[in-house]
Amino acid sequence: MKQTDFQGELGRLHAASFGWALWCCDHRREEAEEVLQTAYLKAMEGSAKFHENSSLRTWFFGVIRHTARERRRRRWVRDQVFGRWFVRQPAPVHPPDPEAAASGSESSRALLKALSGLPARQREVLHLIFYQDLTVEEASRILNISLGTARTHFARGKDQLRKLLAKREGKHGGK
Amino acid sequence: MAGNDNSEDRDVRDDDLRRRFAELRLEEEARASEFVLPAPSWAGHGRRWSARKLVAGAVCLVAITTAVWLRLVSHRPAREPGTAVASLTEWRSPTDFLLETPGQELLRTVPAIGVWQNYTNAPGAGQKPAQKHPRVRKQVLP
Repeated sequence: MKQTDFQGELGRLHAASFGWALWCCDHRREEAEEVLQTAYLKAMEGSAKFHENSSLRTWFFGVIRHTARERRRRRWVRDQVFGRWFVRQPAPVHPPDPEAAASGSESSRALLKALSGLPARQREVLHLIFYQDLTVEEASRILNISLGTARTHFARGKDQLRKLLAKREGKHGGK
Repeated sequence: MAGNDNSEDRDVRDDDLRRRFAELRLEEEARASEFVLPAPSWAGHGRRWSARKLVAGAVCLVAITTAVWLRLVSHRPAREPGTAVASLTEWRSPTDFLLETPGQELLRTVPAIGVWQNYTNAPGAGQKPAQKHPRVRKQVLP
């Protein structure tokens, strides 16, 4: 793929990539932007190479996810090693903070709140399939898990999410 | 029949989730920042940064090696000043005298023919023994 085509494709994917970066960073916007820029840098420098074994989106989403995890790991190590000498940063909140993140509609807030009650892997699978319109197979490639595992997470995640949404709506309806 | 109803019900419920996610996506995409690829200077910065990391790593490695070496040297047992180390060939065991047995010269020397040597400390051992038999002069037969 030519460099200009490659950049154009990345540009077309930008909004979706930003959405995925947001999810990988638990909806912390600044962190998501940094992760996305680092992922672009990796793609441009060639430290992450696209071998055209999968679609560009599958590959680039994998890069974003890897970058976010790398960043989180580094922060954890830095806090563990140097935390006693420097002022400790506030620890990251692992489940997304929906109230802060969603300044949107009531439906979106409810969805984010319900998603925050799910395990991370189920959240990621649901996001990739419902939010990004990917197939289960593509999601499994991005998350580097087997197809069967992805299907299991997808099915369990849906059931759990429905229950949480119903519970939340019932509670709000009852008020 | 019931299975079909169940799968249709599932699809409808999936559609509901899809709709909710699509709504969320629209809201989040509206808030997305502009697409800006890192400039070449950024890339150069990245390379410089990795070179710096390499240099810092090398310096750390040298520092750690030096520290370990110094620690090992400082923990080596100190020799008293003025104490000469005996050479291996000169060294003798403190109980070496126990191996000194009487008559050990017999094992070390080759006796000379016609010369009486005193190998023992027995009284009169150093004297030449008395001739028991008179010497017979040899005569040339006709």
